[in-house]
Amino acid sequence: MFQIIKNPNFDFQSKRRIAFMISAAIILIGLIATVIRGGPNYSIDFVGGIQVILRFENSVDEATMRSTLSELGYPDAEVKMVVGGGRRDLMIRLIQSSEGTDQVAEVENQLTEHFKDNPYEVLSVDQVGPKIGRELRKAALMAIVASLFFIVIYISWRFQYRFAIAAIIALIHDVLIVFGLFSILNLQMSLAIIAAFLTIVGYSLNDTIVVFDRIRENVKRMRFKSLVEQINTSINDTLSRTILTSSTTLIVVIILFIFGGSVIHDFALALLAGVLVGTYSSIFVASPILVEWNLWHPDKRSKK
Amino acid sequence: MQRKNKLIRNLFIAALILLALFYLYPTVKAGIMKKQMNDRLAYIHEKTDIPLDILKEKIFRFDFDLLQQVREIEGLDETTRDELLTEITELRGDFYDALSEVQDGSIKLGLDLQGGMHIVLEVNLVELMDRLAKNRDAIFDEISKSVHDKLFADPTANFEDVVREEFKDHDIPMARYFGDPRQSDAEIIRYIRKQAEEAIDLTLTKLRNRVDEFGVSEPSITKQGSRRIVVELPGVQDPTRARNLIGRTALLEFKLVAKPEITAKIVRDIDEIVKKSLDESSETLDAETAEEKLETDLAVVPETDVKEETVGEESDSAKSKFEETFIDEQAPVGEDTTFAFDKDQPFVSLLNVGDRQIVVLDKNKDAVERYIGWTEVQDQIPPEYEFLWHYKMDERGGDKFWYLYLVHSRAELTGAALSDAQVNLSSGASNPGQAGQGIVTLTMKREGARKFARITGSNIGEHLAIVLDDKIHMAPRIKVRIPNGSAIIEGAETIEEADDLAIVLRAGSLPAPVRIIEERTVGPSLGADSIKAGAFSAIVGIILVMIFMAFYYRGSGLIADFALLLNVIFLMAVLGGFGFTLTLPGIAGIILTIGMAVDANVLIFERIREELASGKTVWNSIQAGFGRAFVTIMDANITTLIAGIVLYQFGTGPLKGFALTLMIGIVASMFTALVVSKAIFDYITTTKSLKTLSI
Repeated sequence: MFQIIKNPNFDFQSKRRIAFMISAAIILIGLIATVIRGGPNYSIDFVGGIQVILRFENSVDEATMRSTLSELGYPDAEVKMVVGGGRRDLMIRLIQSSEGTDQVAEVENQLTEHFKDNPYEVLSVDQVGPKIGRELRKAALMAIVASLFFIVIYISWRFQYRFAIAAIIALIHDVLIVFGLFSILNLQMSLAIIAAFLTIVGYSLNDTIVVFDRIRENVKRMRFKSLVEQINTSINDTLSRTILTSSTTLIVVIILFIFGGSVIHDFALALLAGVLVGTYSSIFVASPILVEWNLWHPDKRSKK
Repeated sequence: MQRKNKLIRNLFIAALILLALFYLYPTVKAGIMKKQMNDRLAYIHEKTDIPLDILKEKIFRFDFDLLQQVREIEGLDETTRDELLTEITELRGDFYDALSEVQDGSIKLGLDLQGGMHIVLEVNLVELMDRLAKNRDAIFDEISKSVHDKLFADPTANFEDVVREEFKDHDIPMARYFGDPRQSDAEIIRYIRKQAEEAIDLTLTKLRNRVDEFGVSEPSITKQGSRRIVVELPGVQDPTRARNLIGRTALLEFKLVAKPEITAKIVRDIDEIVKKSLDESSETLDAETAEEKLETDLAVVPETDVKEETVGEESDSAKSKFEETFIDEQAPVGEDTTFAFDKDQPFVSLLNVGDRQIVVLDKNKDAVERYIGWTEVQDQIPPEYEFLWHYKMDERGGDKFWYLYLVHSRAELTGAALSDAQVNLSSGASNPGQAGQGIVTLTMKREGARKFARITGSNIGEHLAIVLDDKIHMAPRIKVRIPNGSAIIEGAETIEEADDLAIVLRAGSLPAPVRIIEERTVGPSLGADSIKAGAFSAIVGIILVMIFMAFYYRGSGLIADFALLLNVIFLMAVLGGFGFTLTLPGIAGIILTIGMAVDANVLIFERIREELASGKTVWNSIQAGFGRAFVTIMDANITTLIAGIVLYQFGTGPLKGFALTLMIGIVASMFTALVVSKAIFDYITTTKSLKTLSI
């Protein structure tokens, strides 16, 4: 029988305060980065604008494109090189100045004119009106809030109210860290990243529930032990499963990150960070909160 | 479990697997057939030199006479020709039938994978309100502008609330401009809203007509909410063309060009206003540099006739009448063709006023547009006249310039009078530069023709502008009365452009101002890249996870591997069987599922290991392991499912695909782990009495 760790017996709970501080520090750094950058870097999905990806016959570098666009009257255009299908493509992003004007065609015509000897192919066009942008932002926020709400109800029903709160805090912790990471790296928050957040929520929760499930079981089985011991045992019991599932998930997410192509690159990065943080949080955030809660407000039922 | 129950369970599993394979078959078959088709098209391309793109796009479009094209190719030996003709006939016949049949049941690819356009249009309520208003005046325009600005500043604001408030602020009942005087504001707003809804329905039909003629396979045009239309065009090769076809209103109007003396007078009036206003602010400006700057912008306009507007050279029928009617003489540019900036004539010196048209250098266009847009200037222009630009820049001898016309605001006739619009080729007889270019020939309904005859008859010598979406396409002089109601529009640079113009004119103008508020276009090569990258990631992911599981759990790992494969098959079968669409995020969902799907098996195996470690027999450990993991698996997966359902509910477009594959994957993994793996374990333990378990 192959085992990663033979009969693990780590005392996770004694380190919980250190873990809390580490988490708080990471979240703080992320939030500071967000503030310094003047808020999240919303993609055109949420603020409206145009994003086109062009594939030139002969690669054009970012600086050239930036100065070209500046000359053509788009000094605010963002230009980024994206690697896809073995080619270096250019992503151009413009915040739309007014609704209704056909800026895409305008920009395309000007570029065609300017790069007469270097034809390009339009790989993709995304054009979002500012109005739709606001709607999407609202819907995304609603999605996250609604999913958290339903999760609280389900966990409260299946476990206890405080398990639900502990789980939710862990989820918010995970999302905040990945959010901060995106601010630090100055990556765009798009609809796809919101989807990644919800997936992280689902994944992290899955992990947390498995530990909680074992706690629920061990609380009954080890009723003469302290809660700290019960929780430590539960985490150790499920540790190899936690590592195993995280490993297989990480394998595919890393593959997606490397081979998935430019379009889902950032999405895969969010998942990658989310899986790591989600695994960490079910051990070092969700369960320790139960311990803290018990110190602060002991629950009779769990000690019976 | 009872023996009989086990039998039922195993039969159930077998039936499900068969069903899954049955639903998966069309997808696999369609894939193979597409590959065959591409090979055969490549062969045709090789022999005929018809571009592969065109072959792929047009092979199943019968309005494209491929057979005729092949027949006309020169230098092809007869055996090859016959072979190609048979090949094309076969492809379009039996092969097409077989392919469409399997495609109906196969997994559909989203626009982001096969390439295509997704466009959301919305009726602009403010513009609709402007159009519906009667007795518009300055106050109304002010209110309308203010409503527009407020809605733009806060796009989530409610149209009704903003409008009601604006009218209240101005202390004017809406009934002054809409409906009958006794109606309340609420009733009128309801009326505007209802008009918008009706307009959307009509727009939907018109867009369908346009798209049908454009020739896209399986377009989808649907209403979303009460004011939006979603247009999906798979596999569009030329997004710009499609965007033009869908987004433009295509309001065709015939307007008389103002008499030269009126044009001259109004231009002079504007000049006065601009001058006065510039003088007032000149103290703050460095006049000299301003002058210098303007002067460098000015250039000489060619002295030859600036633009020759030809009349119908196309089909004989249209030609005869039209040519007799409109002479192709063009308003010559005035004597003085040199622009010189003149501080005393700040506006006039930017233009060159001809008989009927005003010539503006490209460099000065912005300035002219700005001056015309001034409120003081707008107030000076009598409401029965308006300035309209020619739709395209012209170029002569290195100079770029635009034409500006003063026309009567009232349209003599609109596109509603048309019965048909057809494309013909210009012979270039009257204007050699346009030989071979597309010309759209208009035919009018009986009543329209009568009206047209009256208009042309009573305005001989005048110029009639053909205006499309507020841009002048041409403004020829009326020579004689045209009795039969035929006219032409020329100037299309390519046949496609002329085709598209004819399409939108035939389908009719859109009844309400619609705007593209969202567009997502993916080119075919990016889609192909994405499929390749996605498929590669999925395959590598499966292999690595399988190796990992087999390495860690040995024999039992193989059971988990089997469950994983089955999981993917179920997932694909559900996508195909229920006609779901696979998107790029959907592929990401599948890949993620591959990683997470083994979780249920891992939970079970870890439990079995624990039970074995506590000294239970193999059989007992397996039973206990499955039993105790069950609750955990349920709780853990249901919470993930909740996140999935919410994402599906709130997500738009492609994100729904991600949520969908994730949810199907979760359910499938629960089934394969709890039922299928269990069945395999049961089979192994009952056939051999195991002392040890490879786990």
